[in-house]
Amino acid sequence: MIHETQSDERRNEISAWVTDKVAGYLDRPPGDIAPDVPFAAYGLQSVYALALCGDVEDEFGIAVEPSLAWDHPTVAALAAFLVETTTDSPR
Amino acid sequence: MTSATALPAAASVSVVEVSPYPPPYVAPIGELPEPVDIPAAQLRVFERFYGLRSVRLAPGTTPADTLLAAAAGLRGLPGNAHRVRYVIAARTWPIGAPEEVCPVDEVRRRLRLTAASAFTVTQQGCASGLLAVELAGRLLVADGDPDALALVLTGERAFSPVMRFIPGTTVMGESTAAALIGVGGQRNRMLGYATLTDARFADDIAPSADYQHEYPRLLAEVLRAATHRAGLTLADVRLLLPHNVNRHSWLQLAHRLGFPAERIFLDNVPVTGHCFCADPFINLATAVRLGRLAPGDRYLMATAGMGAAFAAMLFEH
Repeated sequence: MIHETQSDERRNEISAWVTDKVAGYLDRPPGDIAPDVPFAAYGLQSVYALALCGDVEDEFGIAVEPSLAWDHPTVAALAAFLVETTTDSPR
Repeated sequence: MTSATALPAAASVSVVEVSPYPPPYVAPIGELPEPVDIPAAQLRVFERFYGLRSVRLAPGTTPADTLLAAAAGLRGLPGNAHRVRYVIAARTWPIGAPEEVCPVDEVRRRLRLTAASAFTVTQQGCASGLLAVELAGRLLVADGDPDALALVLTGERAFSPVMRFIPGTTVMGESTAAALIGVGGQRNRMLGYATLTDARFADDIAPSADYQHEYPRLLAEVLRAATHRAGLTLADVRLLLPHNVNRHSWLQLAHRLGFPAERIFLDNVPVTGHCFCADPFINLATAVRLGRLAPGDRYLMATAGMGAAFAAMLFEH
């Protein structure tokens, strides 16, 4: 239970971080960005989808493909990917 | 129209010589002269993913000055001025000088090309340079003089912010190139040319989301059309000499086409940026200097222009 709570907290933190970044690039309030609506539906330009890749690399210290925002095209999908990628596997 | 028109290559048209001119002032893309203001997030993407680093600028010069500087590097021009029948400036932006100034005619006069007609080709954006070569070839073949030459001039001064920065896409430099076009030569023989215009984007002066979506498909179509016109395929192309818009878009296209990325000549992207119609010509000069082309190699010059026009021209070195 404790493990699940920590995981949920981390997912929420990452979701909030992704939402803030996307909202900034769209010049909209974070509250306008729904977790399950594709970035493209908001009109996120490809240059800012790439900027998001750079942000992810800087924030999480991982290398990602330039297609990151197309492969994981919503806040929820990208946050799930980042949680999975940045969480140590159980030993 | 959205299908590529593959015109027949004029008989035996060749690029006799090409001369690039990189102006001396090196400007990192984050330190461009005011009032260009690239958003910080875009600047990071340009440097990190697009491979853009700096551009060469020519402050204090006229458009004719930078074109003349390129022409000055043509070793085959001195002593052959009387053979030049056409001076053709290819422009991305239709207007690049005050109305009382005609850069292409100024070049003609200052080089004393008294036998030449001078004019400008435009309306295909940055694809106008390859159109100028094709047109030069047609005119020379029609004239029937095997010794006649045409001088094709590419590259522009970026006088305004809208000319210097294409949002989300690239930064423009002011390097130029001059090419001598002839008939009957064997060194860089034109094998095929294809062009495509998609009028849905005719009013665009910056890439729309729809244009960005369609761009790879349209560019791929014109690349294939130019090679097919010569009875070849992209597998026969040793080197692709692109416009230097950015590294990312070409790598994406390479992936889409199954074309080896190392055969796209991207060395000049961080050095020159995107120089209007001049990129494929500058890249040809650099590739030859670096020994990237051997006799018999087929190479493809390719470019796209706002508007939206796409063009590709296949040569044998």
